[in-house]
Parts: sequence; C-alpha cells; structure tokens
Amino acid sequence: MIARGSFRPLALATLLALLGGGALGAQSSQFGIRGLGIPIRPLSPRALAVGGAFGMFDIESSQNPAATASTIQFAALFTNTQNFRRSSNPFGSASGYDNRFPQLMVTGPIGGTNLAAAISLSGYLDRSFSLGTRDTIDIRGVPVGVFDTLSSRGGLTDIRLATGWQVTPTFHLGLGLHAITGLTRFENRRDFADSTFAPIVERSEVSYLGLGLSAGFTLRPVRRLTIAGAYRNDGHLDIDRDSTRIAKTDLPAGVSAGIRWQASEKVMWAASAHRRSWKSADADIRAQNGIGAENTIELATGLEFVRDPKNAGHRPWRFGVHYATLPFPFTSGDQPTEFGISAGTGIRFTQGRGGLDLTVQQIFRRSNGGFKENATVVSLGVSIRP
Amino acid sequence: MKRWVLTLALLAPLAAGCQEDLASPGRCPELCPGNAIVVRDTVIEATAGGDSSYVGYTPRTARRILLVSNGLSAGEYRSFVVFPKNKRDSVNVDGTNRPFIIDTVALSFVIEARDTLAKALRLDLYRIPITTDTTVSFVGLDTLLNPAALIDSIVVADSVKSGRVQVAITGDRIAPFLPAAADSGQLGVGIAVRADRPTGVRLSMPPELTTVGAAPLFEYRGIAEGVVDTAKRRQRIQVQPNRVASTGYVTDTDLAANRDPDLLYVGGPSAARSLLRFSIPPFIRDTAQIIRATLTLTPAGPLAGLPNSRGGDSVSAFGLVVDLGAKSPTTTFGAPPQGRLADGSADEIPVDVFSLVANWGTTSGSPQAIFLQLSTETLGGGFMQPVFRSTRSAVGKPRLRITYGIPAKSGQP
Repeated sequence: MIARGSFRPLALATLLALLGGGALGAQSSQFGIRGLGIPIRPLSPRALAVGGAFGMFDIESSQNPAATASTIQFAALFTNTQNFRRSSNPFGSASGYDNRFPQLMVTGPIGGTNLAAAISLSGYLDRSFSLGTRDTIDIRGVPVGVFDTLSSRGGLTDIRLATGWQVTPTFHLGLGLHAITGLTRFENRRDFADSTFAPIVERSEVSYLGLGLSAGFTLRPVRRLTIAGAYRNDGHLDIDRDSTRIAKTDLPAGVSAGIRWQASEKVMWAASAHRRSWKSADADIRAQNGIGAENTIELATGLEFVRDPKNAGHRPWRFGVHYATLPFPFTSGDQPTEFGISAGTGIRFTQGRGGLDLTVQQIFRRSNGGFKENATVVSLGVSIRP
Repeated sequence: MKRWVLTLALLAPLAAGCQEDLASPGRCPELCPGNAIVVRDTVIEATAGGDSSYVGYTPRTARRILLVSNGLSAGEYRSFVVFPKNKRDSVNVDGTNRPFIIDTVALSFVIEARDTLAKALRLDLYRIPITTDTTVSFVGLDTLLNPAALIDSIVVADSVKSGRVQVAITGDRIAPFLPAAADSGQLGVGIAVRADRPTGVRLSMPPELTTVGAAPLFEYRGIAEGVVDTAKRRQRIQVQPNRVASTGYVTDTDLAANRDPDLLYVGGPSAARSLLRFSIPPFIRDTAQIIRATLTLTPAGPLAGLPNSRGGDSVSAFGLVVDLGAKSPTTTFGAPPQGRLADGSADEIPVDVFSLVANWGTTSGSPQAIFLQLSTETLGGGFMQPVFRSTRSAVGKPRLRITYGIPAKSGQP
C-alpha cells in the first residue's frame, strides 16, 4: 500500500520545469484556421488511448473535477504530443508536423480530509496554422507576382484548479475553476516577385482571457459499474489585439456523461458523451467577420485490457474510437467532423512511482467542400508519483 | 539505476524538440480569416519652395581625378600636373649609389573612363611652368597649351578602355622631357586630348600621393654603372606628384556658378548639391508600410556628359541625419540610391529611394528630405553637370511615387 501524499513545493517546481519545455496546446490543423481554433480534448494519454472514454473518470484528465477525488497520492503528469498530418482542400494538399505539450497536471490529496486538489494546464483551442497563396496584382500599372503567407501560432489554454470530495467511497463530487487564457501570434506577409518591392510584414498578437466553472460527480451504484456527469460553463472570452480590446465572445456551456464497466479483473470498458453549446459564440464570431459557430457533440468508447490487476498501469492494452463535430466551419452550415481510432499502452517502474503511457491516434477530419485531413498523433505521458 | 530510468523518462519528451511545419494548403481570401493586405500607389510632389541648390562641397585641392576634353558638349576641360624633383644622376642598387645612365624618359597616366567609341585617342602633353597650381584659370592654362610647348603625345590604342597608358622617349628626343635647370628638377605638364570626334578622358589622380597606385608617373629608365648582376643593371627612377595644389583640372563650364534659382544643380566644378523636402501624409507614415519609393527627377534639358564611358554618370540620393539646410549631415548607411544619367537624354530620371523613405516612417525617423549629389563628387566631379526642374517649374517637378501596403489587421476569427 502506497502511503498517501499531499501537495509539496516539489510538485509545483516539477510543474514549472515541465512548462519550460515548450508551448502548451495540441495539434495544429487546417480546421483551426476559422473561428477561435480547433478544440483540444483535455485528456491524458491513457484516456486518449480508449478514445477519450476514460476522461470522465481519469484523475490525469481535466474533463470532470469529481475524478480528482479519487486521488490517493501526489502525482504529476506531463504529456508530449507529436502530430503528423496531411491536409487537403480545393486549393491543394500539404503535409505538416508539430510538437505540443497539451496536458500538464499536478494532483494530490489534501491531508486529513476527504478532499483532493489538482492544478492542470490543458489545451483548449489551438490556432496554429500557416497558409500560403500565390497571386498576381497590378502595381504601377504592371502585373506583379505576389506570395502571401498568413501564419498563426498559439491558442487558448485552460488553467483549471479542481477540488474533489469523496462524499462516500462510491460517490464523489467535484468543482473546478477555469481560467481560459492564451496568446496567438499572427504574421501576415506579402512577398513580391519583383524584388524592388519590399515585403509587407504585419505582426499582431491576439490575447484572450475568460473564466469558467465546472462541476461533476462520479457514482458507483454497483460494484462493477461507475457513472459520471459534469457540467461546465465558460462564460465569455475577452479578446485583445496588441493590448486593445477588439471583441468579447461567448464561450459554450457543456454537459458530459460517462459510464465505465469493469467487465472483469482484467477488462474495463467505458463510453462517454459530451455536448457543447458553441452556437452561443455564433453571433459574436459573425460580428467579427467570422463564418460562425455550431454546437458540438463528442462520443467516445474504448476498452482497456490489463495484464496484472495488481499493477494495472503496467503493460496494458488500450483501444478506442471517438467521433466529434467541430465548432467552426469553413463555410456556413458545413460543420466539420472528426473521427479517430486509437491504441496505447504504458509501463510503470520504480514501484509505481514513475510511469510512461504511449498512445497513437489516427484521426480523420472532414468537411463539405473538399476539406480533408488525416493526422497521426503520438502522445507520450510521463507521470511521477514520488 | 532507478533514478536514471526516472530521469530518462522525464527527458525523453523534451528531447523530441519543438520543430514544426504548420503549412496548410489554401488560397486567400477564400480560406484566410480577416482581410487581405491592400497595396496602393500614390505620387507626392516635393514640398513647394522647399528645394534648393548649394555649392562648394568639394575644394579643388580635394579632387582625385584629372579631366580633359576636346569639343565635348559638356564643356572644355584641361588638366595639369607638376612633378617634383627627380634625382637622375645616380641610383641606389643593393645599398650602393651607382652612376645612372639615362636612355629613356617616360610619362604615364591611368585612364579611368573614356568614350569607347572614339578612335585615335591621344593625350597631348605640354610643358608648363612649375608654378602652375589650383588658382589657374581655364583660359590661363589653355593658353599655355600651345604647339610650341608640346612635348609629346600618348597614343591610346582603341582597344584600351582603362588602365595605365604611357609615352616613352628614347635617344635624342629625351631632351624636351628633361626638366630645365631653372626648374630645379621639377617638371610641369599640361594635358589636353584629341580624337576623331569630340571626346574626353577621366584620368586617375589619387589623393594618396605617397603611393604609386594609379598616380601619374614621371620615370627615368637606364643603366646603373658598375653593377655586375645583369638582372639589376637595368634600373628605373620614378616620381609622382606630391602636392595637391599642383595638380588638377580646369574647365570653361560651371553651370552652378551662375545658377537659375528656379532650377536644381548637381555636380560640376562648384560641387553643387540639391536638397529636396517632402511631406508624407500621416496616414501612410502611421498606418501603412511603404514597400517602394521612387524619386523622379526631370532634367531641365538634355544631359551632357562623356558618352559611352565605362560606368557612366549617376546622381546619388542621401538621407539626412538632421535638416540643417545646406549643412545638413547626410546618412552614411550602405550605398546611397543612384539614378543613371544618360548623355544626351532629357528623359525623367528614376531613383529608387526606398532605403531612405523607409526611415521616414516614424515621428522620430529621419527628416523627410533628400540630398542629391553627383556620384563622382567625392572624386572631384565629372563631365556631366545635371540640372533638374524644381518645385518652381511649371512642369516636371521633383516627385516621389510611393507604393505602400495597408495592414489587414489579421487575427479575426
């Protein structure tokens, strides 16, 4: 039996050290060009491996604050994601890759109580992309070739402070406070085929700030079955360009539900469903000359096969699928969709104090009008339980 | 061992690095959020009454060239050189002074530019008083260049575009070349030119008078007596001008000397410069990004210079550090923008001044002014003395054509 731990300065130091490793966010995508970006699922590699279905119960994910209550020892999680994608649309095809750190978390019980707390930094929306286009325009009465590049780096991050309460061993409640913040650096560049014209370079920084609340529960009505539910409301987002307020956009409210069935000592199945009211941002985004926003759903299911029930995190096999609609269309009324299959495993070492979880996802995104994207996403999670 | 495993586990993701390629296919404006960059073009005339010409930027003693011409529409030019005393009775070989028997006398000059289509080019060399200096007038020098004073000529092959040319005298013809006893071993030489057509030549006259380089040379060549080593028996003694006041050129044409206040002058013996001032609209300075700026100058008449010469003539545009009128210090970053000046042409002269105008973009930037000077002003001038129309002219006022981009305010959803 591992002794219960609690929050320590080392935990925060570890978190800060991990933060220094790179940008927070998830994979970039052509489906992040419009609106505020492409939504990021705040999930650990373990949860991703089962399609996201474990997210409502997973202490290393940020979907349900009630899951925090299950924490019995201090733990820190750091996730690295490599994203390889092939995008195509009516204007051409391109391949790309990027590296992100989409999920950081420190969690631990609060000593002497039935409470546990967690601080997490998760990707919320990613708006990293680079678009290049050629054209010819008339300048001084002469046709001049131009090459335009519009690039954006950054997105929104969800900083969550969550508290979970073990009301009873089978019923947990949780509350989360979310700070949604971030920065997107835009560079709009026009180069001319005629070198007597200097390039036009426009740079701007768009920063975001919003506050949200979430609440959830987990309930184990019978020994092998656990259900979960959560509600989240993210209020609105203040948007500044170069320190000047340019817009205020409503963010969605969302409801989530999950079910987990322990089929046997070695097999666990879960499913989850989420609905988010992104339509609430539609009017604000249109007012900013955007296309608009649509409500989204996400469905996920997956299985975990454990080799050793006494060390469940060591060398299990995980499989899952998920389907989701994306909130920001390229053209009005054509809502993009995402379908993904995933698999993963993990190891535990040093008596369970350290862990590595590896997940590979194959994601297919589609939208009417010929927009397609196939992405292979490799996620590596490092967890420490000192 | 366990600590190593833990450390490696922590570092593994970091080692993966942060390289990224975010490229997506696309075409604006169909796919790009926000507006497209707009490119506009506008013409701004120089500030009315804000343009002037000034003279006297290069003293005659600072000239680094010799100009000679004959019948050139740009004007008549003559040059002079006074060589200092040249020892000719002995030569030092391996630390020992040996008697020196002269058998050849040579004069040589370096051609920097010539009309490459002119044939049978000759530089006529005249003996002139050694007292000749930069106070001499064109008429005064030209009078000295009479047939009686002619020493010899340097025949320049038609194939020679530039480089050192010489005349070497041997035998009995040496005598006219030797300095007169009364001249204390010094030799004054006046230079004129002729060819099968009106022409001119620019000769090098470097200011570093202590180095041979491209300077005019006066040489004695001969035999050092008593030297056994045959490779060292043949010797030469050479001398070059060593006083800046005793070299130079004169001309009968100085357009800026009696200038029309309604025109703008550049170059010439007076080393004229012209100052233009502009006022870029705040909208362009504050909001837009200038991507090209072209200054257009209109000659007051056909330009006259040395035709068909290597490099040609050009006018340079300088920015100002601060606008102090005639004494404004000019910026010195990089090579100044230049506009080509074609002999015989009255066409407008475009000068790409983006590098200057780009610094006008902020309120703390350089003054919105351009100083024009002949590109060869630092050499001491040139044949061409361009005259341009000013803001007081009815037509052809100096003007800037500015092309600029208006930001798209990217970042829209």
